[in-house]
Amino acid sequence: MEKTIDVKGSILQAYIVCKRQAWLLSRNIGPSPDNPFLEIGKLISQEYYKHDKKEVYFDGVVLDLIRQENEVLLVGEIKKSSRAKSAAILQLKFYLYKLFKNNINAHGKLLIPEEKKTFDVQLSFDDITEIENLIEEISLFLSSPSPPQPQKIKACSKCSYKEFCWA
Amino acid sequence: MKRPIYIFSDGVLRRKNNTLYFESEGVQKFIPVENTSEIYIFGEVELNKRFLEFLTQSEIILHFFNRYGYYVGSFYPREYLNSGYMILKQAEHYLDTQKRLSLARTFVEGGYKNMRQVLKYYQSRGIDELERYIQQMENLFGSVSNINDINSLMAIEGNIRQTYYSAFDLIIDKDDFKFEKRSKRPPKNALNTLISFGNSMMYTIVLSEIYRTHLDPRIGYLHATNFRRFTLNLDVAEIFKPIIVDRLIFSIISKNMLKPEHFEQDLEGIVIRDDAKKLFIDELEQRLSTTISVKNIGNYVSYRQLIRIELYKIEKHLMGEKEYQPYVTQW
Repeated sequence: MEKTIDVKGSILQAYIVCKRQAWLLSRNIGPSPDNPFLEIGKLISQEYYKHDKKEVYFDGVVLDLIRQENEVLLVGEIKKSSRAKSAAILQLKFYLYKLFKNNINAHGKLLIPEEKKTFDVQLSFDDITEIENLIEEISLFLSSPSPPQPQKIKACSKCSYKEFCWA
Repeated sequence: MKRPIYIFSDGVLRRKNNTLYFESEGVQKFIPVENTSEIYIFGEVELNKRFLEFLTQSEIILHFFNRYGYYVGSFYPREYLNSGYMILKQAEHYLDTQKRLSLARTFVEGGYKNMRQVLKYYQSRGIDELERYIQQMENLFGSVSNINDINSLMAIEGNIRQTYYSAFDLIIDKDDFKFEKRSKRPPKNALNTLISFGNSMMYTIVLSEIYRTHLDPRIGYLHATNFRRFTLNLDVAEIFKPIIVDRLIFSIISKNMLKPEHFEQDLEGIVIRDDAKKLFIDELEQRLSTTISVKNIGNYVSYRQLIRIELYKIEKHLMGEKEYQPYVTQW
């Protein structure tokens, strides 16, 4: 790869859960479009929060939802379940970091409407260092010419890459 | 589960209230867009650009057939799973003669092995004379590994298929459905018409599955690519034609579901009537949704999913992850 690959929110999130998925995403090898869990996820983000601004493109990333709350910008990330909560929080922090780099101060909220749960997410100075280190680590990992071999992990059972990885 | 829609009547297809709408002789019908995977059109259907735009947005492919049941073409909406990486890998395996040959050989191998399995299946049910044809096919296939150009490979593939087809009369054994010899454009008898129709269906089914992967259907390996028409679907269909189309034909003929009345002599040769096409497609859909167990994937998969998995295997071969081994049925 001549150019370092642009790390996106979805790639960062995937990297935490499954490095192979992150590599495939970086080559634009998307998941099976007809995976039922993927379709449910799509429907959830369509059906909820209809009054908010959704799918906002900003500096190469897509924010699921933005909202003005008490003079502060709120960035929301919608998830189907809390299965990969920590990865989702990191993804959200990555968006907050992107905004911070563009001098926009924002708060984050992880939204899991089906579980009626929300989690407030703030970006600390430690987070900034962590994210910068992570981005560097991911860029290096993605520069590898081939992905790591598939490995059976817990996430595989509902993963939309299942057929691809195990074909 | 998304399903294909088949339209045999004449009418108008439109986008209405954010879904698909078909009007025919005063009958109005809404087709839920989120349940539709692809549309096959056999009747005379009018449609407009707004409708095509809606199909693109909904990622639905449209296949057209003329009134003789011949494939006309497809509306292949803008790719939505583009991967520049994968297309370069596909091209790399096309441009490198050795890489192309090795893939082309695997398609021939997969087709051959499945044709042989079909004959063996009927042999096990008591048609002993099939042995001679199986032997002959085996001999022909023996030379495939030494072949170093695509044209000779295609020729051998043709010879194997010819031998295989000539065994059909032993399997079917009905005067109304004599094979005689393979005839196309136009097919000269009912059986040839059925084979042509079934094969065209198979090509479009594989094309629909390719649309849902990162592969470009214009770059094939066995069938000559001229960068204008779809060829990869023809390659992959070689593997599935014997086990899906041919088995289906044998089964519906032996159950007397098809009769000579289902076929008509036309200026263009022998054509299948619409009711026979419908019957064939019903049976085909049933077969495609039949599930079988496949190792590695874990649970049961349908034949339709099996085609997709085959495409994923090809992607993994192109990526250098895992050498492609064609699917061979294990009846």
